[in-house]
Amino acid sequence: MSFLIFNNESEARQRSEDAGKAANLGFHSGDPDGCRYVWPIINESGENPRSALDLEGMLNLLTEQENEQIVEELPSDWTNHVDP
Amino acid sequence: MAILPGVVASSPGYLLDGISGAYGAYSLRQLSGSVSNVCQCIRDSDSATQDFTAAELTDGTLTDFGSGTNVRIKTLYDQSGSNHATQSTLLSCPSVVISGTSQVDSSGLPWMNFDGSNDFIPLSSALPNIDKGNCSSFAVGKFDSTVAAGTNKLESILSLGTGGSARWNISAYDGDFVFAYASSWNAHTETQDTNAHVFTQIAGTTQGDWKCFIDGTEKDSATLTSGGTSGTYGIGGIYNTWQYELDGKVQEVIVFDSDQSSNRAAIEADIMGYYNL
Repeated sequence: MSFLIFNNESEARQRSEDAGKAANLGFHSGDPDGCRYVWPIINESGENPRSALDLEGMLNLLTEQENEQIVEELPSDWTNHVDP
Repeated sequence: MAILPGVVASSPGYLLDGISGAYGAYSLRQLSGSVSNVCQCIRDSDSATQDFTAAELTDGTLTDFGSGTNVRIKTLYDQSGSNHATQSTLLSCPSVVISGTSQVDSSGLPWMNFDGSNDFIPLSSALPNIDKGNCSSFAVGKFDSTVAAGTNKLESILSLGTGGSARWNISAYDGDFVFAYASSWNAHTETQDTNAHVFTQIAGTTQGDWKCFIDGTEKDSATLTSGGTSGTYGIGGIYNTWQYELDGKVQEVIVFDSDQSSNRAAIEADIMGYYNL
């Protein structure tokens, strides 16, 4: 698996939306019900939670710098929400 | 097409022509004579979208649209009204065609393939404020594998509430099917299998309690608890795209914001007849 780590959800969401614009997804072409984001977001739980983009595909939308920042696992100190 | 016992439908044999009052009804089959399109799909290759009728999912129209690539479900249309369920993140949409191959069960009926990673169709916006003391849900789905004990992994077919006293989930955990209700995340557990089933939960004052069923057989009951839903919930996961994601298939989810205990047997008979359960 491949991830890009962000300081917070807002930054991750913005990056996924920017990719949506680059991919010309429906929302960005005038369809308010169209897809808006490309990559799913994983949110950490706890204080000052980080967020990650789950890079399942469409890696062509990443910059060269982002490609160098890809990690194969979430950070070892990542806190998951556990309360089904 | 199965016809509900004792019901004279205005259109021949559609489930919701005989049963009214659904809060949201999502399926890859036609549930009402008054609807045409059942879903909107999106193609990975160029993000093009197209509405599909139930017939078009299996008559070649869908695979033609896919042109040998991947096609996902972006929107499940509410066949009981206008509470459509949509996923706004492309790669979180469950698949119906993978590399040109339609995702179908052994009878050739289409199903949504949830990848066990991040696929999820949220219902929390489409179906808000469900009272856990007055609700019924019917979900047709399967897990692709037994969720092994000791892995601390939970997979959810359907959730209508999260955490606290708002739970309403159908999941697999530690080798068991798990029904969650109100404050109990494991109100009922039993050994899991990987077959398709119709999972039913009903709560309300007509019935007098909460009950869960698998393929029409009552499995357990609990004291009725009233309260609204909270958090992010939906089909194929709980909370968001990364919590308790389903590695499996879903064909149909029907939710009522009412006690449907009097119609349960008829609804389940229709579902089980159609899906050969």
